[in-house]
Amino acid sequence: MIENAPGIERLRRAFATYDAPPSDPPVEEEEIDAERIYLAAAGELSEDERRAVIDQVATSAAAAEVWRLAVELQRAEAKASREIDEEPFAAEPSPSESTAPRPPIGEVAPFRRPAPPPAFASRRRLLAALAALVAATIGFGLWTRMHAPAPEMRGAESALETSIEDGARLPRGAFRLEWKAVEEPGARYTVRVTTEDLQPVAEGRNLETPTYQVPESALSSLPAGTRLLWLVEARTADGRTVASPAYAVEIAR
Amino acid sequence: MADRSSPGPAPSLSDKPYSEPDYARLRNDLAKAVAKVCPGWLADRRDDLVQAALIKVMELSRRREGMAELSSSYLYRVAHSALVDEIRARRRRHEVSLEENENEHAALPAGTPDPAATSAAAEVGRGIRECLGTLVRDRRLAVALYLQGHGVPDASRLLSWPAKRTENLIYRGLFDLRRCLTDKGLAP
Repeated sequence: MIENAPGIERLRRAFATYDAPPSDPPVEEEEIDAERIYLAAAGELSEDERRAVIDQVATSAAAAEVWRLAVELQRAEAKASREIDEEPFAAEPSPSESTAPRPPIGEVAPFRRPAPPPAFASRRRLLAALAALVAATIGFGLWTRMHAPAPEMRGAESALETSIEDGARLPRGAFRLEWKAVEEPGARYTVRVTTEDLQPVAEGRNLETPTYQVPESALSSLPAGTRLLWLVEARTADGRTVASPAYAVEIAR
Repeated sequence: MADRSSPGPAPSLSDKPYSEPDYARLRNDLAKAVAKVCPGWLADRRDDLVQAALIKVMELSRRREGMAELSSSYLYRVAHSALVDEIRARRRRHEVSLEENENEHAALPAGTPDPAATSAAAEVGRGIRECLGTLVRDRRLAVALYLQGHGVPDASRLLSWPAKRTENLIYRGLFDLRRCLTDKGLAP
């Protein structure tokens, strides 16, 4: 049986060894398209294109390494996606709530895959169909915004906007983050502030107003001039969510 | 080889909404992939690689202005491109610190494989690639995927061939490969 062929692991290890010693031709002379390799490894190119990529992987150590990285990341992404799908939603109790059970609101994210990842062969068709659906939905969204006086929150199409200039410098004692409220009654906000290397600095949960003051104590260990990233996510009473992009802000000197 | 730090078409679609806390997971997954795949001489630069790739991903996310949430599959694809770019850049610079050059016997970072073993494996690796280049194309493709760690079902899907045909190609291709390596004095 092939799977147990003797010496296969040794061959695989040797095939995966790529240390680019100085005697090797410089890597930059090779035409390696990481994006194309990633898509081929995901089965998202045509048969002929996939085979062409695999042919390059067979004889190029650099291409083989890029392929292995792609496979590792795709496995990790698939695992993460499965866990999100399987994760039961648990609403976070507000401070005023005690142990009383509360029915899950359920997170409604438009266009989210309802089931495990689609079968290998149908993934492209599904993505194309979803892309068409999104295009139509966004088109409709734009049309309604042009014709309706009061814009509505439409899930992922909307983005929370900040009233603070991106990259603004704020003093420690008044490190107040603000954003435009969503026009939905009962919306709650969660704000996350991190360093640029994504170490958590502060977090505000279940906020009822579109503002959050980062506690001075949370900033005390960070030197002046430190650049932080923050974003906010809104959740409506009926469970829909919308998130802002990540904004930068700096601790004033 | 051109750098491609931002991959092609960005989906305007959120099939898998990706919220900020998942960056921590992405970072962790990048670190694992780098540790598993990247060569020994990059062992002490793994954190830098991951960090640089992650910053590129975050910058790209910010530039998207939140018009639509990015899907996790898209972010992992971006992360892959960014990571590959970082590895290429370091390879081009052939990053070896002055200290390492001056003291070849300096202690290697933890997890760094034995240089002699690596060198021997690299030689066999080069032999494998040369031999693969001489195989009939279909066998070459099947064996390449097999050596990359894909089993028969996976290779069969990626090549769009029936499993039985793929298995036969791997079997015959491995036979050819071993013979070629033996001829080169690199008996596996």
